[in-house]
Amino acid sequence: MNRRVLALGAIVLALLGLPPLMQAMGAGYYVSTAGRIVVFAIAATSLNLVLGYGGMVSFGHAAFVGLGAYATAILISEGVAGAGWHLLATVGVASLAALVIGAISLRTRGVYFIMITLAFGQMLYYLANSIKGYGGDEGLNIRGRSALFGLDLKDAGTFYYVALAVLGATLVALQAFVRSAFGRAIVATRDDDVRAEALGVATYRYRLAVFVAAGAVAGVAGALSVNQQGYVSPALLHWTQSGTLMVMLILGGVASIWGGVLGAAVLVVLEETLSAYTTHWEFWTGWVLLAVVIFARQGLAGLMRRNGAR
Amino acid sequence: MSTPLLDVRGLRKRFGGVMASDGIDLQVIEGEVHALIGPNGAGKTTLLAQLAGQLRADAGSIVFAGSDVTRLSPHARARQGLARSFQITRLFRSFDVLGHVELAVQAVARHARAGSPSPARDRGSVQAQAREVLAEIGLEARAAASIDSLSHGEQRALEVGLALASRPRLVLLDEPMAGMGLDESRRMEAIIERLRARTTVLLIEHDVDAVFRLADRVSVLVSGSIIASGPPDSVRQDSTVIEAYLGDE
Repeated sequence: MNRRVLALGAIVLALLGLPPLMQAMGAGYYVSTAGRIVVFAIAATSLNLVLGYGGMVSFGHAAFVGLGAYATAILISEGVAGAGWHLLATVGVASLAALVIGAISLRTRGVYFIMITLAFGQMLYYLANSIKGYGGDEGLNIRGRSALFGLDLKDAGTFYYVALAVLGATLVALQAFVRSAFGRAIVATRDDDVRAEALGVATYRYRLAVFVAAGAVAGVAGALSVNQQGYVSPALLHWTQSGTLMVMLILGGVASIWGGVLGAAVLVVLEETLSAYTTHWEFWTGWVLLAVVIFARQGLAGLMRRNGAR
Repeated sequence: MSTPLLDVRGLRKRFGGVMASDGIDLQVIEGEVHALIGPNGAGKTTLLAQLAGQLRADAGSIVFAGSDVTRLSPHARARQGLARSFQITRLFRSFDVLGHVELAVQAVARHARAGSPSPARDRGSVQAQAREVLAEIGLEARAAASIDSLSHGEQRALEVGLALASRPRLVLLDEPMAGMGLDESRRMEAIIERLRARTTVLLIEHDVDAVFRLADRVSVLVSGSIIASGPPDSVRQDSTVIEAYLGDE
C-alpha cells in the first residue's frame, strides 16, 4: 500500500514537473505534445469506462469528443467566452447525444452494438461536414479561448496544467466509480448481463447511465482539444478517431484505471518519434499493437502490474 | 387452500413449430418445496425462464404474491422477491466468491420491499448478510477464492447461493445437482432442505429419488403441459405419469 502511494506521488510530481523540465532542456515544443497526450488520455479514459468496465464496444466514441469540441468552438465563435458556459454546453450536448444514441444502441448486443454506434458516429460526422455556417468540411478556426480564471490557455504550459487537472479529476472519479456498488454492478453486467439482470440489477438503465457519463467526459476532452488547437474539424468525429481511442485503450490496458493514460502516452510518443523517420509510422505502431495483444493481453498496465507484483 | 404464492395460468410459448409451453397451469404455495419433473425437452427450463422473466410468454399470466408480473423485466421480478439459479453455472469472472454474494445482496437492497426484514444498505450489513449466505451454502472458508479455483460442486453451490442472497420469497432452482457426484448432491440436498424453513422453492431436478425425498408436491411436465400435480406418493402412482415419464426410468 505504502509503495503504491509513493509510486503515485512520484508520478504526480513527474507530471507536474514536466513543462519546466522540458523548457530547461530546450525542448519546449514538446510541452504541447504533452498537452495533446493528456487530452487523448481523458478521451481514452472515458472510453475505458464504457468499453473496459461497461463491456460496451462503442465504435462511435469520437463523435462525443467532436460534439463537445463543436459546442465549445461555436460558443467561442459566437462571442461567449465563459468557460462555465462552455462546460455546460459541452456536457449538455454530449450527454444528450449519448442518451439518444445509447437508448437505441443498447437494445442490441455484440457486433450489432458495434455497428450501430459506428453508424451513429458517422451520421454525426456527416452532420458536422454539412453545417456550412460553422466551417463545414473545412472546420472552424477560433481566435479566442475559454475564459477560465484569467488563465491564458494559448500558453502550452498553462493548457497542460488545466488539462492535467481535468485528467486527475477524471481518474479519481473513475476509481471511485469502480469501487462503488454501482460500478461493481456494471462490471458484473459486463461479465454476464443475464445473470446480473436476474439478480435484480437494472442492466439497461445502468448501462445507459454509464454510456451517458462517458459521452459527457469525452465531450470535455473535445472542449479541451479546441482550446489547445484553436480549431475543430469534422475529422475529430470520424470513425478512425474512435479507432485510435480504442487502440490506445488496448495498448494501455482495458479496464485498468491507468489504461487510457498509458495508451495515449505510448501511441502519441510512437507517432511523434516514428513520423520523424517514416511517413508510414502507422505500419510500425500496428506491430506494437500486435505485440501487446499477443504478449500482454491486459495491455501495458497489466504488464506493469505483473512486474510490480514480482 | 390458501391463495398460492405463484399462480401461473394458461402459459404459452412457441419456438417455431414447437410448443415449449402449451397452456401451463401451475400453483406454488407459500412455504412448500415444489418439484417440477419431466423428460428432457419437456419445457422445464423454458417455463422457468418465463417465470423469472428471461423469456416473455406468448400468452397466459404469471401472478406472484398477488401482483401480475407477466410483463415485468427480470430485475423487477428479482426485486419483488422472485429469484432463480441457472442450469449452466453463470458467474462473474472478475469477482471473488464473497464479491458475488455481496453483489447479489446489494442488487436488491436499495429496492427492498416495504416491511422486509432489515434491508442491507450499508457496507457492513451487506457484508454480514453475504457471509451468512456463504455459511448457508458451506463456502465461508472460500470467501476470497477466485471463481476458477472452485470445484464444480462449489460453483454450483455459489450459483444457488446467488439466488438466495437477496432473501427471496420464492426461489427457482434449475437442476442444482446437475453434474454432481454423490457427496456434492447430498450437500446440495441439505442446502435445499434448510431452505424449507424460510422460503418457498420451485425445483427442477432430474434426480427423481432426490425429488421424492425433498418435495412437498411434485408437478410433472410433458411436452409443454402439466400432466399431474400433487404429493409425491400420489404422483408416483399416477398411471399417466408412469406411462409418460417414470416408466422409462
